[in-house]
Amino acid sequence: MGEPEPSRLVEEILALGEVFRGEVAPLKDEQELRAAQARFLGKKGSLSELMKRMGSLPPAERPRVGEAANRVKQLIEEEVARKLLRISALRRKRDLERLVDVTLPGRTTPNGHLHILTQVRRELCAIFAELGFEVATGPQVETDFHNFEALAMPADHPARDMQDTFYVGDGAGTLLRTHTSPVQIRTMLTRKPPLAIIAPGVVYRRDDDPTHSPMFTQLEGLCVDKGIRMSDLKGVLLHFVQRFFGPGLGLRFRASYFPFVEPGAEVDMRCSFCHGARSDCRLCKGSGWLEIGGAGMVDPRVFEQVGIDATAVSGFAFGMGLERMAMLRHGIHDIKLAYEGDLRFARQF
Amino acid sequence: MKISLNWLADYVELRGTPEELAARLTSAGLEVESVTRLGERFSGVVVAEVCARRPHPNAERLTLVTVRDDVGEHEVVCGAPNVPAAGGKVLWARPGARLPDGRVLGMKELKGARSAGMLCSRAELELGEEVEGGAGGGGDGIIVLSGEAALAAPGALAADALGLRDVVLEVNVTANRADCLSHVGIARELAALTGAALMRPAVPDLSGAPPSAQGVRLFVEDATACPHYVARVIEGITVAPSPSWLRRRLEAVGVRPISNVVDVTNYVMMELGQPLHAFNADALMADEVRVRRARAGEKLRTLDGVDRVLDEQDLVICDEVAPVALAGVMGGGAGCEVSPETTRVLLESACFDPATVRRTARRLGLHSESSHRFERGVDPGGVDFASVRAAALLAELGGGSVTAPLEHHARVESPRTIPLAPADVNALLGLELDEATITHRLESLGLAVALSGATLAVTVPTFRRDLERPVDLVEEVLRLAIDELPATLPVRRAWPAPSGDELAESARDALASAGLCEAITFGFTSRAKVAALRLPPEHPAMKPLAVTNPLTEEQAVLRTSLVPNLLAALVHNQKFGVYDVALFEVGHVFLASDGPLPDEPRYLAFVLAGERTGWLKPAGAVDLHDATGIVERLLGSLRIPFQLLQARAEHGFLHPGVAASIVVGGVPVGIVGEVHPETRAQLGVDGPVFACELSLERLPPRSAPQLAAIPRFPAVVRDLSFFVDESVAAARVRRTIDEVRPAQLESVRILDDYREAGKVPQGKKGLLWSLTYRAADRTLTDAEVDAAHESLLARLLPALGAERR
Repeated sequence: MGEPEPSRLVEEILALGEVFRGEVAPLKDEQELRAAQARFLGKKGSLSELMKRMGSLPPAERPRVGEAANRVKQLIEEEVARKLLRISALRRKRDLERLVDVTLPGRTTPNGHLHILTQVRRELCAIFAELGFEVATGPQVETDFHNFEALAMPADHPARDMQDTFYVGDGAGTLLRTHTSPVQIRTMLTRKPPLAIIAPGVVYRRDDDPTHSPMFTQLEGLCVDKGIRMSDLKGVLLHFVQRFFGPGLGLRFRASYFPFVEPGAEVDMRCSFCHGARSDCRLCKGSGWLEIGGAGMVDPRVFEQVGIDATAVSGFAFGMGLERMAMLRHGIHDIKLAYEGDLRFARQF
Repeated sequence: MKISLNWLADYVELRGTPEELAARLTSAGLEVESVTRLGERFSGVVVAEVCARRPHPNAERLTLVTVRDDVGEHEVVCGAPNVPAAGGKVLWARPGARLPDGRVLGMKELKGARSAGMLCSRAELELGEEVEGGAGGGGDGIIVLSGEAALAAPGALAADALGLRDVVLEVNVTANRADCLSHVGIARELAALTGAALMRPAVPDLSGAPPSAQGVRLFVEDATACPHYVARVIEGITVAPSPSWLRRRLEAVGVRPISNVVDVTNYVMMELGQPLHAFNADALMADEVRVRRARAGEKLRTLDGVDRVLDEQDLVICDEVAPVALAGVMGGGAGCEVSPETTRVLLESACFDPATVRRTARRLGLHSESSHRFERGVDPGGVDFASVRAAALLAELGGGSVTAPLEHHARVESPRTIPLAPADVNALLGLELDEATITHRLESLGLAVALSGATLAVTVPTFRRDLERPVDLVEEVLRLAIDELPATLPVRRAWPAPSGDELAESARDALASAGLCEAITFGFTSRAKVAALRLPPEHPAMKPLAVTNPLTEEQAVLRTSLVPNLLAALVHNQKFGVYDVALFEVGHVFLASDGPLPDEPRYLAFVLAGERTGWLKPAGAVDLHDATGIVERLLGSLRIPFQLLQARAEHGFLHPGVAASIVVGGVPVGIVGEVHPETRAQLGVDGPVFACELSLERLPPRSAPQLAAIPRFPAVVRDLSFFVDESVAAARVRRTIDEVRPAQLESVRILDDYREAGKVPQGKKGLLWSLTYRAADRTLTDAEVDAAHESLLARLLPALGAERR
């Protein structure tokens, strides 16, 4: 007869280690490995099955068997750990073989775009805010008083010819504002100096041709206080030009006439494209200068209309076209593009 | 206004190139829009003397002409019938010459004879009436030089011989500077700008002129509308073409020469700025000149041949029976105009009320050089000077004799004196000019300056009616050297108040970040687009304010909704093949109000059409939930809680089954849904489109968000799945959950809405909700959550008539 039962059991237990090692050698997957481990070490695994036989052994023999079981258990666990390391190394290696076409476009939602005039308006408001100007607004449908009378353009004034007007309804006294200057009037009627406002907004003129849109956008500025000088006006506009169009650009005033300012001036900036250096510049047509707006010192007649004492304070006002600012800086050649809601235009900004 | 530099040089020495002069004028407020050189439209054309002429051996109509220039003799073939005899002078285009039409001449063979260049006609050089010669040969004749031009040496350039060289400035004269609507006016400015002296035209003393033998009587009935009127009769005049120097000057400034009489009135107007009119004095009935208001319905045929019906506010010049001219606007064309037979001319020089002239000119749409000047105000002190200047010229050119004037002066025009403190000049401008500089600048403009204490007393001549107040003088001081103005920054003494439309700006940002593009559309729209809103007629949006004088029907009314113009923009994009469109606008609409001005509430709207962007391929057509999703992102980013309710009321431009009302705090603030197929058809929209519009005015004021306690204990999630009638809206389920919510219910989310036949009973839909439970002070046990969830279900399901799945 062969060996006695205790020795045979120990042999069988110890043999499990080799069997396990042989069984898991080809495995490349953690799950399979864990399954194999369970088959050997689980509650109903091979080791447990063998250990059931321990109960029939004499107590003195049992420690030998237990010791063998612990050894084989440790061996299997070590083998599992070793195998796991190898599997994960293998997995990492396999993972590194992946190749993705990284040139495909990203998964995203489409970009929306703010209108270029919104962007320009915000930028201008921010620039003037640096100098202490607040934003003021007024209605687009205006009274003749706010749009003309109070701005020293009574009925029959020849300067009204410059601003062909849309009227609204039956009364001739209601119109679509032809400029943002009525916001000056509304501001000065409701508040007292010191005042510094800018008023961006759409305005309307009865003019529709390739270079004119019947609706366009202006930005008005007004500053009224003790001791405001025309040189302050120039400084404020110079700051704006250099912040918006680029540092170093110069500014010049040309005398001009707007009924609600005196002295009045047209404002030119140095050509932002050629800096006045090219006689064949397409932007400034060789003049070296680009017209950007009108400006001047608030006419005492306007102060009188709004009940401000012209001997106590002085003020300046300026106005510019937002479209022109956008066109000059962004190379937009046609003002009409701004109002068509054309996505081919909108998506470029 | 066109200014000829040749002409201008009569009154001021021109210091600088034309471009330099233009720059000076422009900086001083007289914007020069263009500088045009005349006489450079052709080159290589010279004066040549005819040496001999003989018939062409092979062509009957051609002549072989030998001409001589400064180099030698040349043979030219000429087809004109008026080749002069030897000694005559013609204009010869040399080989290499360039003609105005771009032709470059060379040697040419004509029927066997070689021709060096050609002899030129007026037409070939595109010359106007200002050049004499050539007329004798009819339309196809060459120019034969006569008069002064014939004295030019052979070889001299044609442009010089004909006096064509000139430079013309196009000056944009602002409405306040009536004094600059003339050559003398511009010369005065240049004199002030360059330091040169101004030379006014010299006039003879006509004070001793005898009265007209056949007395003309002058009556001015309305002295307010006509404060000054001077009439001079020139007798025994011969109406004839003007001499070439005069014609040339008029042509240079864009005035067509007509006859010496008419030309002189135009010449003096362009010289001095005073409009003049010449009548045939013999045609004035009863030798009477009367200035009065027209009678209603009175008629006058003006010089342009149009019959005008007058009203009682028009000012007219009449003879005894009828109007003969519209005062300051245009003369009459039925008898009293000057004709070649006229021998007695009545020359009118007057000052008319600007508003009166302006009103008539506008009413009749009759804008003339004369009305342009009267509307802006002519120099009341220069009326007689212009009359004398023109009368003397007429007598000189037409051979007549000037008689004593008939004059009406309603008032004495005394110069105005304005006090000016040098300190005020500097305070307003930010300059530091001394008194001498200020005085010098004002004097250079023709103003008289006297020192009176610390201030200057500045006397303004009558031709500067625009200078009324000290501040007007400040501008004069500035504009002569405007580049000296420094740049400073104002000292601000106040904090800026909060400003700007933050809500609108945040809304724009939210919509752009949700992938929409911003549009800005016109504030007006068409009646058809308003009609496409399909709202009941009493709805405010269907009653737009009309533009009284629209340019097109497309801009006939003010918009009452942003949607129609956005849909038009969608159509515009579709027209160019762009179908996936997501556009928004934030702007004002115009609604009639009881006040003097309409309400202009700020609205927000967007439209959505085409396909949803997916990855690498479109993710299907957009639908209502894309639109409501945008509403969620918008109001979510504005931190405004809202509800969507199935719209019960008729929403006009929305599909009745796919329209939701957006409700904030119980108040409807807007709508979102699919655009009604009828609206689409009316506006030409291709395919389904979804739209939203809401009023920013109705959104609640925003407040700073306050931090709520961050949960410290874990949440427990329970799903809730049931069948319910298809008609039960998600919003109702949500509302019902809120009504029965247990304290520990933290949040509710819908996970699925499914209706596939087989999965759900007939007429029902399946809904799957996820409910999150959490307590602020402890970890909830499963038992606690189960109890809360079950009690919720027990109340919710019966309330909805739902059946647990």
